[in-house]
Amino acid sequence: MLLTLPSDRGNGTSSPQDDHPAVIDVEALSLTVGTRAVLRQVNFWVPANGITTVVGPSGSGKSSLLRILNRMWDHVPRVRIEGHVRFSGQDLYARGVDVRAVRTHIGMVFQRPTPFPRSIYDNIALTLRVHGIRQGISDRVESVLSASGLWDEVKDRLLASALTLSGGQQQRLSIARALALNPAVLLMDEPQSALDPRSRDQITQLMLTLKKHTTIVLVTHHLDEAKRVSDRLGVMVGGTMEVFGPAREIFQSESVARLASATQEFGQ
Amino acid sequence: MESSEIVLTSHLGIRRRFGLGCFQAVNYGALTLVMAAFWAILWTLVRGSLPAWHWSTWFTVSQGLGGGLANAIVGTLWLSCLTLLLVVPMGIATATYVLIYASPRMKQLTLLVSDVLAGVPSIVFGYVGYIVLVIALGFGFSALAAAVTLAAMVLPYMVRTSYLALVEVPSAVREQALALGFSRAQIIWSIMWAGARRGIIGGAILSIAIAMGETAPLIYTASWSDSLPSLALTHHSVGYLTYVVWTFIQQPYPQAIALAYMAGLILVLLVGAMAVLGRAIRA
Amino acid sequence: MIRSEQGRLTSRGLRSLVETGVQTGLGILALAPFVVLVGLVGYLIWVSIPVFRYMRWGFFSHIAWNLGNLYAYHPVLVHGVRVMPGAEFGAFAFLLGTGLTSLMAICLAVPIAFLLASAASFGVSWPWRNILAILVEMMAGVPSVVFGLFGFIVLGPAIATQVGPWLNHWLSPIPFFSGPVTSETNLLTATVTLTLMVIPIVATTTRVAMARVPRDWVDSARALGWTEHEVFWHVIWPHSRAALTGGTILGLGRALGETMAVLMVSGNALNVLPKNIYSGVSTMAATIAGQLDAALTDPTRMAVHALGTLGLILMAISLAVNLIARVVVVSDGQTDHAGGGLAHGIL
Ligand SMILES: Nc1ncnc2c1ncn2[C@@H]1O[C@H](COP(=O)(O)OP(=O)(O)OP(=O)(O)O)[C@@H](O)[C@H]1O
Ligand SMILES: [Mg+2]
Repeated sequence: MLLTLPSDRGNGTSSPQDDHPAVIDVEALSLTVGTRAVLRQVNFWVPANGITTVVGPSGSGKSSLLRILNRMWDHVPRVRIEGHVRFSGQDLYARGVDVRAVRTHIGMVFQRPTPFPRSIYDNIALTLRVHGIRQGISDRVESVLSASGLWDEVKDRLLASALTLSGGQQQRLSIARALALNPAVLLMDEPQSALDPRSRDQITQLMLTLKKHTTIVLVTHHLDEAKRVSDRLGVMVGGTMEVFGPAREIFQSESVARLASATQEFGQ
Repeated sequence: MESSEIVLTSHLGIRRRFGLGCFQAVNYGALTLVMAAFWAILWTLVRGSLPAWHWSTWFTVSQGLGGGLANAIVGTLWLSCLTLLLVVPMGIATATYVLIYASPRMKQLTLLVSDVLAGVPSIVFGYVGYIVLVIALGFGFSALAAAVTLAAMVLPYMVRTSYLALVEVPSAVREQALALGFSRAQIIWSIMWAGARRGIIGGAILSIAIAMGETAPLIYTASWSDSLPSLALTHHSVGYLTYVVWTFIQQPYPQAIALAYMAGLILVLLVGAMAVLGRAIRA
Repeated sequence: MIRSEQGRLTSRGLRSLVETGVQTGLGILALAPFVVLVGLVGYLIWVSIPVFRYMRWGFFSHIAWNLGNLYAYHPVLVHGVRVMPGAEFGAFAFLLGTGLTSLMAICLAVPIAFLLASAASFGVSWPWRNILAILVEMMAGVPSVVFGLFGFIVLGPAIATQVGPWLNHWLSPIPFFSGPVTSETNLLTATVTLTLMVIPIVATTTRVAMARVPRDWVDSARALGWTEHEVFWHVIWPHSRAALTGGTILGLGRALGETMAVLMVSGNALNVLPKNIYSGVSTMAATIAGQLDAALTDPTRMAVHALGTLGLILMAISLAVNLIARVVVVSDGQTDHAGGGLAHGIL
């Protein structure tokens, strides 16, 4: 399938533009699980402090790509990864790189909210304590809960179980927890798709606030959502990055309709 | 600015490193332990049974404390077949009745009773089987007494596995068929049982695997016999493999001991294969 | 009303006849579990009545198990029950033996089973964890006589010549652990054999629960930069605690009722209490199997009935234990494995 769409990758060169230093740079990346090629020759990069969105049909490899970026595939057997993934200039898959260190700099939020069965406070405090942080925990809890817009709702019941929160609140708690380690990059895999419209909207607002200091890589199924928040947009089809470029250009181009039909269930 | 402060190497402090080290050591230790125990058991059986590794073991019956295992092998299979004949209809019927006809309370109660039965020690079945079937009902030491006892013992497993298989058949399909004018009997036959076939067969195999490995319910119901089992259901005792393991191993004769190991090996492989098969079919 | 209308058409009538027939047939077969349970309990209670009339509470507190003078000319009448002169049926030694072997086995088995579950669900890397899971499940399916054989041939001699003397040497200040090791079949051998049998049951129950922790939770913990042991303690363990309890109780149920293995390795001591872990013991289940032959020589049948009473008590204890396991495991939301589903570890 060949789509002619504006792309700043032009003839396949992978160097990011100079005025936007890349935080993450992925080059000629292929992922094979068992005998199945999940990602094929993917090139893309993520500029600092913005939202880079990846869209595409189900099974096209969006989540797989995201999980490459914080080395989640380390725990899956029979996985082969080829190509380069650089994070602020360092190869993520180089020898001597500690995955735990990678993950403190690159946080991740999943589709389903994943509160640990503890108090709201502990969900964040434990994250810090595990990393050996003992001081200033309560300040940090307050600041990340505020950053995720949850503080006003939960400040009176910090010691209540996190499971008593609503779905949307649980997801914002998951985001707060991911922010607790002050990551440079936040990977978000369909963070809104399990939520009701109002909570979805709150998360969207939250992302727009967060992107001022944090680099976000977002995977979503909702084109209008992507349109609202994205700075750069990538379209994955069948394990390859078909299109990648500034979001506005891609959405303005007339090929969006074709894009939508090519990738089937968009805009649902 | 950021790139200068981001360090991706040697992240863990000494405490975390120590914790992780202990966790891994202990886990791999457990792995080693189980492998060792498993091989120890298997190796014991294989080494001990070496003297009995020739064809005559399979084709001759036992004589006193020697001979072969033909009567025990055929007896175990014979008892398993009879048990299967008894337990499968009861298990499937119970599960079906509970799912289709019974009130919610009745369903709960039946499944509870069935689960409770699974916890009854097997010697209790053996004791009651002996007094009631062998003596009071006059079956004598026999295949029938043994099979009824075993069937009662594995009934809860058959009920549970059939129930789990039948529950998996989507109720929407059932309602659809009802709307099409199927009678309940037809639904049971052509939808429930047909749809749950794999699970039920797998459950039956697992139940039989359990029955094959039992000894306590059989000692006083099947007793023991040196000859191949006859087709007579009553008054003819039957030999079986677990008896060989239990009694021959305690004898001072090398030939008897080798047969005991051999019987144990056959049992482990047979029961293991059936358990794997049953689980594979159910999955 | 509707039925009578249908009845006019013969095919409909036939159909409803089939319907009723099927329902009745299935209903009758579905009584099987009730019949079996009620039959067992009823019969055991019935045989126990004369035993309790004769022994009163002494059944629980006496140590001696003695068929009496079987060569006596006449049975005697005691408390309205015919028994052979001098007969005495005290279950205390068997109760103690059952309790000791089972509880000690559980104490040894649970920590090991916990580690196995952790390793097989999470702690060791692929493909070892799958191999381990399969091995553990295979061990759960090994027939109990085979464990008995292993205990008799391998564990017994090892305990008599090495482990026992070693324990005696190092732990002799502790009363129950000191004493001469004189036989291969004793309390310690029985305990270790039972431990081997219980481990797979506890481990499998726990492993299944651990493997069921949703992947997203494990992933989000990992995504926070936690190591394997931190993910395990803070995510996997809280989710599987109840299953370990349930599995422990199921394992206890199996240890309490185990017959053949114990019969082969416990020494089958009658009329004595174990002095230390190197003494022979006997359990209720093993005694029923081991003594039934001898009991049949009692013309008053009291000895057989007394074994039935042992069975009744054993059954009561096992049922209580299994019901507790059921409550614990069900409250954890794992209805599939409720009750005895895993009692043999094979399902
Ligand atoms: N652990 C795995 N083992 C084997 N194959 C996998 C694994 N995870 C994903 N895949 C395969 O990789 C392909 C891409 O999956 P991925 O989850 O990345 O798609 P996706 O674009 O995120 O889809 P969705 O929109 O449904 O979330 C799929 O075909 C899937 O079957
Ligand atoms: Mg996905």
